[in-house]
Amino acid sequence: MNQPPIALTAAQPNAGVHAGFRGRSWMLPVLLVALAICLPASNALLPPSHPLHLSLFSVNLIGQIVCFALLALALDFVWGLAGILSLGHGVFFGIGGYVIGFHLLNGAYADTQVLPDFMLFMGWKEFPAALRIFDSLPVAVILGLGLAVVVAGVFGFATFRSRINGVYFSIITQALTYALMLLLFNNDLGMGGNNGLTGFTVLAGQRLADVSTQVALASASCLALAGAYLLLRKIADSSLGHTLVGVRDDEARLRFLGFRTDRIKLFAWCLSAAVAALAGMLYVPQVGIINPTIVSPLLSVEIAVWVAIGGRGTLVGAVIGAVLVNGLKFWLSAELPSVWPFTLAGITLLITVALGNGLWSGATSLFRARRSAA
Amino acid sequence: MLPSTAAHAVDRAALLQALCSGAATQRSALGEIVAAGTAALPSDDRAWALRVVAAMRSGSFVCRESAGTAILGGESGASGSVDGATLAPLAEAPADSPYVPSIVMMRALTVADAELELFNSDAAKRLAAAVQVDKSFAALSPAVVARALAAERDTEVKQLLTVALAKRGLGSEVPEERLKAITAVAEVPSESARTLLGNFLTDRKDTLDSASVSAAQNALRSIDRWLTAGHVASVAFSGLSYAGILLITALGLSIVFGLLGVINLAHGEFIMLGAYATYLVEQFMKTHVPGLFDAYILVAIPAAFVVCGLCGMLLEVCVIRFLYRRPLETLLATWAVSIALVKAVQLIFGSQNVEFITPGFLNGGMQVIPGFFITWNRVFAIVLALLVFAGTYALIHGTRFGLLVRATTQRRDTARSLGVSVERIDRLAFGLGSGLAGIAGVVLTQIASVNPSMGTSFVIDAFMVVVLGGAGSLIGTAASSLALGEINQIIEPVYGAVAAKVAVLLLIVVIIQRRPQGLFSSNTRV
Repeated sequence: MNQPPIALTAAQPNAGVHAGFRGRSWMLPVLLVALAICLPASNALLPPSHPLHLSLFSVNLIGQIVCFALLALALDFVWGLAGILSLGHGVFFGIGGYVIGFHLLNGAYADTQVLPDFMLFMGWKEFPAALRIFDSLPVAVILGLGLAVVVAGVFGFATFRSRINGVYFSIITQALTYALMLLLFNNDLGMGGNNGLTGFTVLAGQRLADVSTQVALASASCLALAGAYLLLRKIADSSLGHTLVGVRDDEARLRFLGFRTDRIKLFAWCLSAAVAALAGMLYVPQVGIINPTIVSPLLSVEIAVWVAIGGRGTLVGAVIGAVLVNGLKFWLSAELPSVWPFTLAGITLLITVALGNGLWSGATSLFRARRSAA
Repeated sequence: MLPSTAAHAVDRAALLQALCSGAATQRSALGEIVAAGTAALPSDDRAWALRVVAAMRSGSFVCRESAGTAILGGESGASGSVDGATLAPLAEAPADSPYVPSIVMMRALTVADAELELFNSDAAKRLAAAVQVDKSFAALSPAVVARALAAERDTEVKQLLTVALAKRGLGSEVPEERLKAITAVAEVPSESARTLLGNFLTDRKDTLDSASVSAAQNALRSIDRWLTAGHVASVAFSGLSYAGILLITALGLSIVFGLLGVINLAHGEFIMLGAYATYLVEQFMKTHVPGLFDAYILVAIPAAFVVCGLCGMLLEVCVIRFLYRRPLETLLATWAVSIALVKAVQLIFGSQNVEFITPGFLNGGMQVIPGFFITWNRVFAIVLALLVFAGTYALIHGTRFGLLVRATTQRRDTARSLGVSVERIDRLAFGLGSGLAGIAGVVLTQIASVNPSMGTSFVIDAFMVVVLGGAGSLIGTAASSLALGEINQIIEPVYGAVAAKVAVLLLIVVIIQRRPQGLFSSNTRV
């Protein structure tokens, strides 16, 4: 780092990608891979009485939080880097979740030969042939990612082409989420209505109730997060990533210079949607249910709050924010349920008003200040 | 002889005697009693006729061998028993056994009772009677019902009676009677009239003369036209009332969004606070000034405006003003405020719906044309939305404060350099926007269910209105509320609420393709 860091911060106050800890981007994936190895080890090898032993509950919790971190990472890629604040990432999370949910229903039906409750309610006599396409896991995964990309592509094409951005874009994504949630709450749609999809039993030949399956899922989530982080970090550090930051900071200038900013944004948007869908696919088998509340506007705003608390534009910050907020949420919701919303509101207000760009950016600028002082 | 006898227009004793002397004369005697009871002349015959009919139906009418008839009162014994004709108390209980009507007679009595009740001064009783008359139209007395119809004011009762008369007329073998009935039906267009004529045409198509057929077909067409008009009017009205709700919820948002470029996700929670302020006013008025209870809704309007306006200004001072350069972070901060407000209200009032007593003047409604019924609470929403819109428009475009707000909206730095205290304007405008949300909350207490999480559903719709109309443009907000309200109510009855929401969203995305800053964009900071 030959450049004076002061100049960097002065010129680009939100230059997240280039800020602090650059060159240490391997730390997070290494930690995650280590976690992916430690989870099964700690659960299987250590006796339950050992202080480092992780119960099934803890492993499951870690797995869920890691899925949320993956979701936050996806949002940070479009918001922090490209400046597109989506209040509808729950849509893509939900698409992934519902697709994998249908895959799991296929498995459950083959396993038990009992139709899911909502199909019985709708008077269906047999498992619908149309849902059979989700029967194979690889096909379901491809379909889930593909569907998310197609939805994101169509929506993004229409909005970016007409240069809808900033808060207008945020509001429209929020309305999209709301509309999809209402749609999913509709019982006649054949997607489980307000009860959602549940009653899953097997995944890839393994029983979901088994400890080993859940531990494997949690480990897989950690690996997926590590992989997604490396991929997005690679893109962020490439010239494409720099263009994205350019779009965020001055889209008009970039357009004037001849960049097709709508296509660049569309790419980032679709990639982010795919990552969010992946998060949904890993999340649903771990919680065993998917219902329309996952695409409620409230949750989608909350994802942005995780990113904002962690620090947007840094990718690492999004992961930290999601882990912190969700960890705190699981703990406080159990201990003091009525205090939790106030705590979350307080943290959010404090960070948006006082700290500006989240914990991670705060930490890195502190780190830089120390170094330049020394 | 009692003095009341002089007022009798009919010979009561003779009629009652006829009632007692066998099936042959019974029916005609009953008819004459009803005719006497419903005559236009002011007399106590109606009360007497009702009493006789009621007694005959309930088995407390006694035909005595001698000394005329009697009506038993209450239990056994002489107490309460009266003479059938004069209604004068009897000294001793009648010894004969009471009259037991046959099934045929019972039916006639039911119709007679309903016919008498058609002249009741209570509209609800008349309506019930008209329903009864319509049900047993074959047994009705045309003269009596026609007289009731002539005196009737209530459209619903009128309609029932006309249909009942027409049903009888349509069954007639005389072509003129049928034509008269068809004309009468055509004058009261309704679903039941349409079914009636439709059945008439299909059931009797082999025996009808061509004049009746063509008259019935013409009548059917005319009824269809009326029904279509009524349907269109009612869809337009419900669209208008929905537009009123949208307008009143979006107005404050539009000001805040247009002026300050601030996404206030807590706007829905200010609506909710307005509704709860109304609840507090209602509770206060119920216990302290029950006499003026109905006026609580009017008192609540300024109360909610002030409460929410102050809350809004507090929010501006504590949070928003630090974030003016960062609209996306305002969004998150106001979201945080909104979840805290929801939880706080939940802790104070509970999460269940709050029940409101509708003020008397907002209860019910009226039928404008057949198939088009307006309810007062919806009219209230529309009128209040228009008033609030007019007031806000006058404030923004007609006062010095409004001038400063517009100046700050359009050229913030220029306004500041010319000596406008833009910070003060920001604060007041934010307070105004929040206060308007409070008024929206007052209206919604009469239309929607009130609970701590009610804000979310309204704020998203309100945002759609603002996005479509163009931030900061009051006219744009009004126009897009009207458009979205009408579109929503046109789609909703056919395809359901969800389809309506999705269609509106798609429509907005399409329109925004052409006009990215909304339909009526003005020069704002957004």
